[in-house]
Amino acid sequence: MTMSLPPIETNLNLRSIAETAGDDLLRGFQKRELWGRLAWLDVKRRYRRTTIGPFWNSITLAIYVLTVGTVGAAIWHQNIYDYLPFLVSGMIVWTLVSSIINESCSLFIAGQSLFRNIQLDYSVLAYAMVWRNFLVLLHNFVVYFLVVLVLKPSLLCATALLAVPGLALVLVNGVWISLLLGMLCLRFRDVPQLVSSIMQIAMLITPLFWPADTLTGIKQFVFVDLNPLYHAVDVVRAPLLGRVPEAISYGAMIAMTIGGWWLTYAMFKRFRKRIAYWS
Amino acid sequence: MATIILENVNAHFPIYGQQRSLRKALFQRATGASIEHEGKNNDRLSVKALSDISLTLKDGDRVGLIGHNGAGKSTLLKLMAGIYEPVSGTIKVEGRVTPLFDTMPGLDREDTGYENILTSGVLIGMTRRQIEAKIPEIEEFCELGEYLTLPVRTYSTGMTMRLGFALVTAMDPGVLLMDEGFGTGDLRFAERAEARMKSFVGRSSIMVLASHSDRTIRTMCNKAILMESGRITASGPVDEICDQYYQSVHAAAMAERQVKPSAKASSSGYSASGAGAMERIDGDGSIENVGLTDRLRRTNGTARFTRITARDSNGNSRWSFSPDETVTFRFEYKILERVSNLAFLFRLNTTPPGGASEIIFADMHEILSTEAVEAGYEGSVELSLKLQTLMPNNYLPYVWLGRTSNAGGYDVVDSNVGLPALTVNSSVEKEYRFGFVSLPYEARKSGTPAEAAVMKVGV
Repeated sequence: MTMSLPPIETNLNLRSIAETAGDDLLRGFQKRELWGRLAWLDVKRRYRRTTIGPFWNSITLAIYVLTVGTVGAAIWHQNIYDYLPFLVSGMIVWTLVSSIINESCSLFIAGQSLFRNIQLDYSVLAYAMVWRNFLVLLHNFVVYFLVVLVLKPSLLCATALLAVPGLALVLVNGVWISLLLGMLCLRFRDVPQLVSSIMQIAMLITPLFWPADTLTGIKQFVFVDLNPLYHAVDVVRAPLLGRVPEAISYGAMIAMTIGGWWLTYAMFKRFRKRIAYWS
Repeated sequence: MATIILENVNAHFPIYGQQRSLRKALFQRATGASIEHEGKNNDRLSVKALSDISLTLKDGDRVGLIGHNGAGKSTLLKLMAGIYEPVSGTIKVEGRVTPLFDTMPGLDREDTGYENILTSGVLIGMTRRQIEAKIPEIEEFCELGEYLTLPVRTYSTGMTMRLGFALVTAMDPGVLLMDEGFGTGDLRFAERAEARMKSFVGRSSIMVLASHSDRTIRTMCNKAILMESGRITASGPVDEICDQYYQSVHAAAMAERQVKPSAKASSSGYSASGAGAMERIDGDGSIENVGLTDRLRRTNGTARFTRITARDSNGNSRWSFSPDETVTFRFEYKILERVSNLAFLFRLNTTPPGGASEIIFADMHEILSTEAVEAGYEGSVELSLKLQTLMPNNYLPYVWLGRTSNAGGYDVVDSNVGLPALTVNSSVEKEYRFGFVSLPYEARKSGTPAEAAVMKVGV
């Protein structure tokens, strides 16, 4: 039995409840207050009742860089004054990139309790996650400043400011990656395992512990030039080490931004309304 | 002006990578949604949660969604809220929609009360400024005082609930969608909460409330929609639909008893009004030859009930009473083969809200004879029952004759002969009470005239 429909009134205020993907992305972004708060609460949550809070991350990173850096400098025959800043800046960016990728996998799996109970633009979860990792990055930057101030203050020059656009590129890519991986992992629960395996290996084959030019020829082409993670790290790391990133890195990042967003938008448009059903 | 229009809305939930055991469990949900096989090889399993829903809601509608667990009430609400999008069909709304399915979304027990107010408030769509403006009101209502500056983990359940309730009812609802899990459908809340709830609902342009308690729906709504297996089976004025629902709960209970558990449990095997099952008892209550297959399967048949009637104090036969009346049941039986002793049991079963399976509500057990009773003996039991201790509800009778040791039955009748439910009607216009028993208590109230100070309630 159905309730009868009224005669069709030309009611302009009547809108379809179905949102478009574009609405979701834009409206979600406008809710800065919401994703900002979600991100901040998440940071707080992890370090609650600790005295130094998120700086635990930084301390871990500092110890890691000092110990691994000392050993690494010997292994790769590097000057420690060059090697430590190289390692610390690389690790800071790597932490950002790899956390975004790893956490993307649980983006919608962990967010179910929210979007199944309230009206929530899915993109809010992605913005919150990327923003949270950015906040962690800011804490880690303290380690970079300390290391550089002690070992090589000359690195803190105008070129370092180029890290800002580089970082922006990484974050913009982070959003599409989190949406795309988030959907994929929600639907296919094997993908998170796969991603975490790949990221573990990627950490070793991406030039983080050794300079990119250690590799030559075809090896350099495969592990450096074709490695998107290298470009993502280098657009931020290079300025922090006083050099301008290579054009190929910017090119790769811009291409990834365009290609990635195009793919994600298409997928998001197609499958956005299935997200609640997949969860 | 607010409107919600649904046209031919369907929703299916795909099931991915499930174990067989869960699949089985789903199939056994007699009242739930139907499960379909999709895809090329029928290998994709999906739960058909809603089929072909069309409805129009307008300003001022207070609509109750009623039905069993799994009938699709919550799914329908979530579709209206835009949380799920229909697989096919369209949903159009005018006005802001406020879904309240969770008392405090995003609640973090480690955060303080104030912090949680902010988090939940932002999540349900208020801005920081709006929330801050509401804080004095929330503080006043929840009466948590200093506790608001402490982590929520130090709160009792009731305090947390009060906080959530104070927060959400502070907002401006627009189109309000509530699931009964939200906890405010619970009218046992303090009187103050009830008043606040009323004004909150009153401020909404449309309210849709899902509940399987027809009491809640009757007190809060003016229209109702009855759902069954993902379909709307009836809609209209609240009282009419709730009556129909109650009858279907009763009929379902009877149908369940008739269909053996091994048989395919069908969700729509009974008619909504339950009339089919009731016709089987004759007008004068004679049941000698009714439902014998079931009776003889369950008992050895050495004795037999021949007639069962229920009468009021004037001798009129009926099964529906008000709580201040006394009902007199008369059970006539005859002994077909000699029995060594004879006991009688009259049992009232009831179905808790939600269409869960029946529970035994009360047993009345009498020993009729400790000696042997010869074949051909015809006897009767008359049982008078004052109804004042029963809450308004439907009670399903079950009558049994057997050995005094309870070890063997001679005859048993219940829905197998289509015994009607004993209905106790409410004596008040709006029922605010729940439960099964009316306790005989006295309430002394201060601040009222002396004559009214002592009041007998429960009759």
